Formats: sequence, C-alpha cells, structure tokens
Amino acid sequence: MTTDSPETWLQDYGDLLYRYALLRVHCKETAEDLVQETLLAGLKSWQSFQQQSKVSTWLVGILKYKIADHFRKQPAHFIADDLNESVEQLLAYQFDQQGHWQVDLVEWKTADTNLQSQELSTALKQCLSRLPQRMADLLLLRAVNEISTEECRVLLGFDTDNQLWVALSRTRVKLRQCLASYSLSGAQ
Amino acid sequence: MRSCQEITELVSKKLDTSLAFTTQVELKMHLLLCKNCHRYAQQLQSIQSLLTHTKSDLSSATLSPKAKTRINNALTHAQTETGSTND
Repeated sequence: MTTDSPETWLQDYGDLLYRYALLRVHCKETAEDLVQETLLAGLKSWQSFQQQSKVSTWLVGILKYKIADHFRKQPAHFIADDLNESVEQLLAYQFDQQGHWQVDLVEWKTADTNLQSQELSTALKQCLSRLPQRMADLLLLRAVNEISTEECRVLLGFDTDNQLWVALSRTRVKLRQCLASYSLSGAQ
Repeated sequence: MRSCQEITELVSKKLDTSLAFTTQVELKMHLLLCKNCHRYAQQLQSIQSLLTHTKSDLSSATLSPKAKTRINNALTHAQTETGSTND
C-alpha cells in the first residue's frame, strides 16, 4: 500500500541525494558512487524501515553515514597543511605577540550598501576558490544552516567541537583578508 | 582579559554556536571599546550574509543520465538477487 517503492527512489530522490553528496565530497564520480551505495543499502534494509520518518529523510540518513565512512578512509590532511601555514603568516602579520592588533582594519564600504552587488559576489567567488575546497564548501553549508556542527566536525575528521571552531575561524580570517584586498575598503 | 586575537576567534565562534552568557558580555564590552575588533565583527557578519545569498553551483547539480542508467542497472541487478546475499 505504500506509495514509496524502491523502484521510484532514483527518480524521486536521486538528485536530492546527489546534491547533498556533491556539496560534501566535491567530486562528481564519488558523489554518484555514494548515491548508488546509499540506494543499495536502502534496498537491503527497506523491509526493516519502520516508516516513522519520510523515505527521503531516511535515505539522507544512510547517505550521511556513507559520506562519513568515505572520509574516515581518507586522512583529513587538507586543512592542517593548506590552510594553517598561510593563516599562521597572516595572523603574525595582523597581531603582535600579545595578540593585539598591529594593523588597522579599514571599514568596508559595504556596510550600508547592497550586499549582493555584482562586484562583491565576484570577489567572494574568487576568494572562496582560494580556500581549501572543502573548507569553502563547509563555510557555505554552515552559512545556510544546511549542516550541523556534529556532521561538519565528522567530515573534517575532528574529535572536538573546539577544533572545528578554530578551523572555521581561521578560514574566515583568510576569507576576510582576501575580500579586504579586493578594494572593498574603497581606499583609493 | 582576552586579547584581540582571542576576541576575533570568539566573533567567529558566535556565528556557529551560542556562547556562554559571561563570554557574550565580555565580547560585547570588548567590541564597544575596540575599533578593530568591532570592524572585524562587522566584516565577518557581512561575509556571513554574503555567503547566505551565494548559491553554490553545486546546489543545482543533477545526476547525469549516464549515472542514472548505471545506478538503475545496479539497483535492478540487486533487486533480482533479493534473498541471496551477493559479494
């Protein structure tokens, strides 16, 4: 009597699952494989699915598990290496030994103008592309509330929330600096 | 007393989670008195709103027909083998 039979899963939820995976793994082939694995796993446990949640929610739950599993197999080398070194330099430039500012931040002219100006979104895109890709993706997902703290932490291979706050903070240090250099300050 | 550098970390953390009440008060006081940290906070806030309005190219992606066919084949194959454990 169920309207949701496995035959229509791919049709009904394929793209949803694919987007969800792609935003997290950033690789088409991997995302496709994860969708396939998810649907196969769903098929296996379909009998025991209690219909207490929507099928889509249930499938996304399986996908989350598959994604976490995927990352567990690969060490989270990217932030430690790519991000930390350049951020260290930036922080040493911005702050003295005691953690006081040694540069003056220039006010952005965006404060009271339209934030969605073309110029600004172009700058943002470019600056995001200079971040480690997964950090940029996660920052976006965080901003639109599409990823929980817990999931984010797991995807980055961190043990504590604090490691996540530090990593996000450092990513923002870098992103802010990049945007500031795009003459948002209107200095000249 | 937290340093400005520590305050900027709190400014970021506040975008992701809620801070303890006393920490919030300390942060507020600091931002009232420190121009650079105040600007930093404003700018992170601007970035956050910008990000909220940025549609990632990835968020409109769809499975390619080729991938759909491949996945569909795998599913059909698995279904015909229901009952028997493959691998």
